[in-house]
Amino acid sequence: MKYNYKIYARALVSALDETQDLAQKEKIIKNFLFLVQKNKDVRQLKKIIDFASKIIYKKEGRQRIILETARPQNNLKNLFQKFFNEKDIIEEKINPNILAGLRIVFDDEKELDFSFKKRLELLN
Amino acid sequence: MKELIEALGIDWKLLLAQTFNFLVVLIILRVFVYDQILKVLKERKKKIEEGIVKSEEAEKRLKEIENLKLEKIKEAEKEAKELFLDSEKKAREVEEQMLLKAKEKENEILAQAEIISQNKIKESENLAYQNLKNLLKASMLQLLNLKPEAIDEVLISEAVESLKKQKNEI
Repeated sequence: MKYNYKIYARALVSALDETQDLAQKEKIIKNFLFLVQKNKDVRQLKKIIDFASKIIYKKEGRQRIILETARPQNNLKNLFQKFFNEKDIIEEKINPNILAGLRIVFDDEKELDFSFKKRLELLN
Repeated sequence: MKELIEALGIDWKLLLAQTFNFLVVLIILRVFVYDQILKVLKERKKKIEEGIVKSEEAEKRLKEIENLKLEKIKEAEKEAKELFLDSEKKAREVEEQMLLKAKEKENEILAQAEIISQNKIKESENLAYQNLKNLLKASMLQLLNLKPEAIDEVLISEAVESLKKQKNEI
């Protein structure tokens, strides 16, 4: 690991900010991926992209909201869309560890936990 | 008179000779013995007087000794009485202290017993509470296994309600 994933993410966002041209942006991303591969940091790629997305969302005043459930649910996004801004990115994620219920995570920073696991923990 | 002297058988010559002898003896005694006897008598008198004085002195001393003895006995009695009172007082103090200590110890033991009792009660309560929680957990898990979708529905509805409430507050 040559650099920390946060350094990569900030560098990528900064480079992308410098141009509005989509072709140029595509080129920057390709070069960036090449650099990561060259530095043998491919394993950090997911973290880098997540953190870069977070920076971009923040700049644009958007939130990344993850709705975690233990099983697939119907119309979950639609049910919750009305409570958030239209610009917010809402994602669904299956997490069997929560056992049942729902966990809402905002920008990986704060959460609203309505999971069954949380209820069990409260009993401890 | 002559007749009476004759009747009594007194011989003048013999009487004179005897008188002379008596005087001679008297002079000899006066010169050689009287002073010696007088001296001896004086010495004896002196000795007796000295003896009497000494005896009186001894008696006086004896009386003094007796008085001193009585005084000492009184003093000793007084001292013994004081000692007795003092030791009695000390014994009372020691007794009071012992009682006080015993009371303190008793209070301490009672406090400890109270703490132990409270702890036992608390432990029992905790155990009961823990058992209840475990039972509740087991029931909840059983329910989860039986109807996971129903629990999902309830908890998701709860989340929706909570978000609605938050939105209304804003």
